[in-house]
Amino acid sequence: MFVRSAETSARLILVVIVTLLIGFFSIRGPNIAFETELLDLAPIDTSDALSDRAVKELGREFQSRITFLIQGSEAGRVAAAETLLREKLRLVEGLILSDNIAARQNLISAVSASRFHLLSDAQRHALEMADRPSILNSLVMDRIGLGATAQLFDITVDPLAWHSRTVSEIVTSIVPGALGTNDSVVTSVPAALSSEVFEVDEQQALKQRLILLASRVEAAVPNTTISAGGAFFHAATAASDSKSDMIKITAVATLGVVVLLFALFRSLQLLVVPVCSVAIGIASGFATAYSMFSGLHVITLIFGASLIGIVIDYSLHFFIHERLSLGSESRSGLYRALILSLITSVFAYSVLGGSGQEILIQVAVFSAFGLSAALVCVIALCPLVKQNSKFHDGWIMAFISKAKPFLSKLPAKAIVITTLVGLVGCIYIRDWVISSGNDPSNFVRADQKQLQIDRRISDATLQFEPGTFLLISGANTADIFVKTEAFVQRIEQEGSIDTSRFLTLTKVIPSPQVQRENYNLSGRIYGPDGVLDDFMSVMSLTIETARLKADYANSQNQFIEPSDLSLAMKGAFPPLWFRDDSGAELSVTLIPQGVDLALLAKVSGEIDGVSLSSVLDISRQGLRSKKAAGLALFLPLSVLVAGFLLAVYRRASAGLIVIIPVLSVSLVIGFFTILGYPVTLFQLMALYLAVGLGLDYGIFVYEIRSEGQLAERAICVSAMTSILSFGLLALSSIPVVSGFGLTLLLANSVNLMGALWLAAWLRDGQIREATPAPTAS
Amino acid sequence: MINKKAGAPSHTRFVLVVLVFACSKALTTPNNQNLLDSPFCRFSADFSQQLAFPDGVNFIRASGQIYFDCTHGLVWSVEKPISSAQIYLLDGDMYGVDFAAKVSPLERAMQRRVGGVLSALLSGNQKQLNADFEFVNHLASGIKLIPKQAALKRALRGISIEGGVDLLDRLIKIEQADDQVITIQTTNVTVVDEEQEVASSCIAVLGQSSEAACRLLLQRSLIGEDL
Repeated sequence: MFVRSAETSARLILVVIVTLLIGFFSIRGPNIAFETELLDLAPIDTSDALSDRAVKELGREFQSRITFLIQGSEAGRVAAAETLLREKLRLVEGLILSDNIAARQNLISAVSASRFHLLSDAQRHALEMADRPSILNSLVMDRIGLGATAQLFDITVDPLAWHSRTVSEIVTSIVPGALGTNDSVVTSVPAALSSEVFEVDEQQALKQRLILLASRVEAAVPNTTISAGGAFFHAATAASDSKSDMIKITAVATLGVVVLLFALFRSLQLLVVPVCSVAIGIASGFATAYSMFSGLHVITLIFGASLIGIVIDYSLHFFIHERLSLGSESRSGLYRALILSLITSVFAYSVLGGSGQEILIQVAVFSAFGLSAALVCVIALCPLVKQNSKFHDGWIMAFISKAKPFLSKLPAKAIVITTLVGLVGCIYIRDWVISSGNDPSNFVRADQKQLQIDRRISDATLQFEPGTFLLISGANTADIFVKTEAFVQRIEQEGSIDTSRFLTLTKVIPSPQVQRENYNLSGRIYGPDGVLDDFMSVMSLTIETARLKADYANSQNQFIEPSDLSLAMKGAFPPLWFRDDSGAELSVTLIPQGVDLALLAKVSGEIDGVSLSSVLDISRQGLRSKKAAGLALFLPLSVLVAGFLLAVYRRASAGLIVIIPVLSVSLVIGFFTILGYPVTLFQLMALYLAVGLGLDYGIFVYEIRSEGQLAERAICVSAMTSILSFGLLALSSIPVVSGFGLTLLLANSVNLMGALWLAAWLRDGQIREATPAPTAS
Repeated sequence: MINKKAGAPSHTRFVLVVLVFACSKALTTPNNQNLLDSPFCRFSADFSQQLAFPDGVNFIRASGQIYFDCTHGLVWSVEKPISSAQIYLLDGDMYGVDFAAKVSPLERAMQRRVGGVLSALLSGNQKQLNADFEFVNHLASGIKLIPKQAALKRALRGISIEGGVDLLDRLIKIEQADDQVITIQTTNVTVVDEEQEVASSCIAVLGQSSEAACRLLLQRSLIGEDL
């Protein structure tokens, strides 16, 4: 009764799942894209949300930055190559060329309405110190001298070129040499990627196009060389490697599993259900995760694709059970085992979801929904497939026979003690495991040639420390100005750091107090008694002054907000100011290269709200804390699962099921520690998957222990499919993926041996329990 | 289809090609480069200057006198609309002097750049001009200086120079990258005696009101002595 209702319900659910999948892929199919941002591999987790945002945005800005370095035999050729390259790059979709003209235009737009609040030091001095005739004289002299100030604002808005001068001076202060005296034989063209270019194929196409454009310019302007560098080129290579790995591994794993199954069952018909369950499992996991998140990371897809090794197990257990068991009447035990193994696997994966890192959550969702859909598919379709009685697993039987004498000699006490020793050992080496393998730059394979180019570009162009900056937080704008001033004074006391080379918006925009003073000073030109009308008269200009005076009068409370300016200059400059909904603000200070960072860290620690931040350090710290949390969860997870199984089976021996994955995890961690092989967060994730697999094997062995060697044979086949697919992941060219694969390969091998030991131990009557049949509720 | 045998012999074709190149080269080499020569070491001139805004409606006009010495530099003395002066020393130092004789250094990049180019033009410093500009013919009797470097191009489109009615008169048009155009007309060029001490000579030409500006011409030689 239970069997029939389970199968009927599964078919109904399968129809719903397939309908939903058809709907999803019809609607989203053409627009499916994968994220490939490397920053997503490293969690950002600072003390507050605003700092998190700042670090993430600065990290993203750094990642999106592309620099072209032009070198040549003479300045004229370099200039010609620069002009040509700029012309060509302007036509490239997805690329934003940052130049001083764009920065200036953005600055003009941002400050236009509040221009009366902004004065350069010289202008302030001129208005503060001079009498009325001197101010007029100074304004006229500026206008009639050789070399007119660039007219940045419209002539009717700024007939004195007064605000144009302010903006020019600000731009020059932000970008040294903005107006340029550069006659060097080396120059650079900075650019940034627009956020849309994260799809693998788009990245590859853009990378190839940029390299091609650079080589065409080199050909057009002889004796020049152009190098292109930036994190994008590494990301594009890594993404391309990932995609290529994913295709190869999935194809070979699928082929390997199909060949294995055909060798065992000698029936093509039987392959239909495993293939369907794999397809529906992966499609369901993908569709659910894709719908829940804004997009899926390509790493999630690779790990998700490895589910093929687990999903296939369900069909295998069914077919082997059907052939070797007493018939369909005993399916209830099988279904209970399948459902129990699904519950424990989902339980284990949900722990990954608690890590707080989006990629791990994506993998957890992908796995949980993929496995559930696959099981529904197996229960719905497997009974419909015509069975025959042959199962060609002679070589598996031979393997079990050879392993059995050795395994049956191992007493349960020895296994339990080994597991406990392993657990204690893991606690002992916990610190090493947590502190190793946290460098995100080691997650992907670095292109050495590109690294050399990046170093050359960095040496020639980089003014500020990459990925390291000062964060100054405050309750409001004025608070940040006060803290920045305190910090600068404290640093200057040390005497060894020149703070004038630091880049911060507090150097560009005056504090609210100074803005108010500037506005009042501007009244000496634009106010009721200002010199504006006299200037027009002296210069014989016919521009209407009433509107300018009204603009001045109406803008008294229009202060320039640093956060607005930072937003307006996005693309031309890194984001340097942040504000949240509560009004709290955060200023970013870029640090010039070569500054004593240790001293900066020491001084910043002394002032409240000031901190020295490094994207890499924060990522390392984030990975470290996630790993610490993940490791800490292993023991409670094991205890909970053991409690759950004891509650289901109501027998003390059921607790031994948990021994298998715990032993596996502790042995693999110990093995890596002895070899000095760093354990990454993703390897920890692999261990969680191994826990799921180990529990599956244990539950099957325990659930159908009365049916001869059925469980061992089924587990051997499923372990082989898992090891085949995960073993292939170990061959990936991406370190983080190969580490994942290797961990699962080792852990699942231990799981298999553990499950075979448990089966041998149970069958040899070492359990002193009277009733063999399970009484699961 | 061209029959090679029917064409001119190869050495003739070579000569023809060389001639074609020579002609084209001759056509593109400025023949008005004498406008850049400075036949006198010390001279004065009247000037009128007009700054045209991109709107095409508003202009700023100024006029005055210049005094140039080939070992010290240039005094740009404005009489209208207000009395003031700018001093461009050949060592690169630049100053402004207001109506009250108050001296301040010129710091604006565009002022310094244009002042430097004008000093080089007046002193006939073709080496410096060659480094920064390409020369092309402009109209019938003029020459145009096109910036070579990207940094200079961002500030200036070009400077055109034409001769005036008098042989020594010049019409200089400075086209800025922001579409503002400064037109400077020099007239009444007068050679000044080189024997007299430069500051006194300058004061004698420009008047006592320019004393502060003229004294700054000595700055360069004073710096040299200090060193």
